[in-house]
Amino acid sequence: MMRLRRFLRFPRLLRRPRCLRLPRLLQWLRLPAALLALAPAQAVEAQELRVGITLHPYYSFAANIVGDRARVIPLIESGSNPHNYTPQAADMRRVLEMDVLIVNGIGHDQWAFEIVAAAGRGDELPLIYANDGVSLIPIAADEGQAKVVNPHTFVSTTASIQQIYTIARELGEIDPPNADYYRANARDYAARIRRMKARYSAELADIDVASFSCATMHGGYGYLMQEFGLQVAAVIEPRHGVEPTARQLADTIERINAARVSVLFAEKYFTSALSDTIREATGVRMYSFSHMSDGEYGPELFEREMEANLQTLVEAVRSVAESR
Amino acid sequence: MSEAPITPQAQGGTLVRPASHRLESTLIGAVAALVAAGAVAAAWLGDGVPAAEPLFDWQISAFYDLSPADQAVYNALLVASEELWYAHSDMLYFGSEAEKANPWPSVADLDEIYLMPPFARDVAWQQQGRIEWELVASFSFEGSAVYFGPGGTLEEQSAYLLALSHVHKGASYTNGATVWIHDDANVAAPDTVVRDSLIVNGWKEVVPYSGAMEVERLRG
Repeated sequence: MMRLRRFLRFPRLLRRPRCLRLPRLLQWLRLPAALLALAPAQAVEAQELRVGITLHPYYSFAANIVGDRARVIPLIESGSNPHNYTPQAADMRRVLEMDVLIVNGIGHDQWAFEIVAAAGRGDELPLIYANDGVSLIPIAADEGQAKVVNPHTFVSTTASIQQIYTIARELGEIDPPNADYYRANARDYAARIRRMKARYSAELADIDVASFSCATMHGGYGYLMQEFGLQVAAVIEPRHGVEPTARQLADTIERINAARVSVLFAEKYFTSALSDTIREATGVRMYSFSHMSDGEYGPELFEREMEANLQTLVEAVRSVAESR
Repeated sequence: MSEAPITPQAQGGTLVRPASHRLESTLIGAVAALVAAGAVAAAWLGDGVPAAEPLFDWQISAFYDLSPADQAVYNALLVASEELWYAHSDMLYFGSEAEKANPWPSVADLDEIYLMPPFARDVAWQQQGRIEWELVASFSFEGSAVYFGPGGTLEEQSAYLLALSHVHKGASYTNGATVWIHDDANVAAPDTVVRDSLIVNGWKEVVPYSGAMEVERLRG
């Protein structure tokens, strides 16, 4: 009955989720559900939209968009590593509470689909694919190999803003009375993110960054580097957690030396002995970026972690410039 | 004189050869080869390698064909287009009389007020060729505007065109944006953004490899 009341409050929840096709017979079974949705309106008004998310940045995006007019529910516990996550029974319980789930959908949270299916909601839980309108880029410096999609669109400001707009628009379709509110919040949030980026960009204005070249341990920082016009000469682990072979590592070290790379960006919350090996072999300076998928969920997490990344970036670029 | 060897046949018996399992070995080998081939194919197909989308000869793929600088400018334009429509709507309905008459943000405002890439003159703008953006046309009667980006200073840099116009969808229409690039960074601004005219004059429409396409590839 509760679910039916929610249908009345958020009629678009009756819409068939994308990519999930129901047999025609099952679609007809929805008719009585829609008719039964004529529940007492006052009880329905008290319902708030429950928005599920898969990754930490999406918590921040959703929370800043919906404000106090919806509840944001993380699908998995904080502290889990989304790169190799194994679904837990508690995740299925959380899926049952959600009206809609926001996903990355392009390779960073494939476990979410397993959880939704295992919870029996694969045919009816609406999904918001945050990256629908994002123009994807390949993982940097994969020259000579097949181009691999970089799914880390959330480690950026520009691609994140596009996702924020997509999420706000889709939530507005599900919850039309709050559509304007969500859009206004999304625009304010996007403006705040742009101002933050502009502050750090201004710090680089007087530095010659043309010859700055870096390598990254992980392929997750391509979008961030792109929006600052910086070059990534090599990625040590294009596929997260999959260490390169000895031959690949040797090739990478050769590429770092040839490209005169001076900085290697590692990951703040994931250590790797490889970074030490590379530092010893090439003499690069080490800095660490946040992958934004660790710590407690919170509305401020994205801005806090992004600001830390931008500070690190400025520090690295400045230190290289000063050493010349 | 040599003696004939004593064999089961010589003694009227039947030769029973030891079981070689040759057939089984062959089958297991074939199955192993198939599994290995399948694993290689799955790794290749399922590991983030998208198949190239078929394109018209007047289109170009942002994912496969653009240089890093062109790709960065294109991606920034795509995000900017959404925000430009919001700004357009604000100016059209809530702006001053002057804004209502020309309801698109100027390039100077996009730089100084909106801080919007790729128009903002920040470090990325410097790195990406110092493009001299212009708002070259504004046709308020059809809700369209064109931002033109010539003058990029990088080697092999393109000129860019962001065309914002209403796209008809059945009986209604929605806001649309297309991005075109030209091999000559110093090409003159086009007189019109009608598709055939742009094509004839050497412009190519940029097509993204979008998240929606990747979802389709991964999820079917």
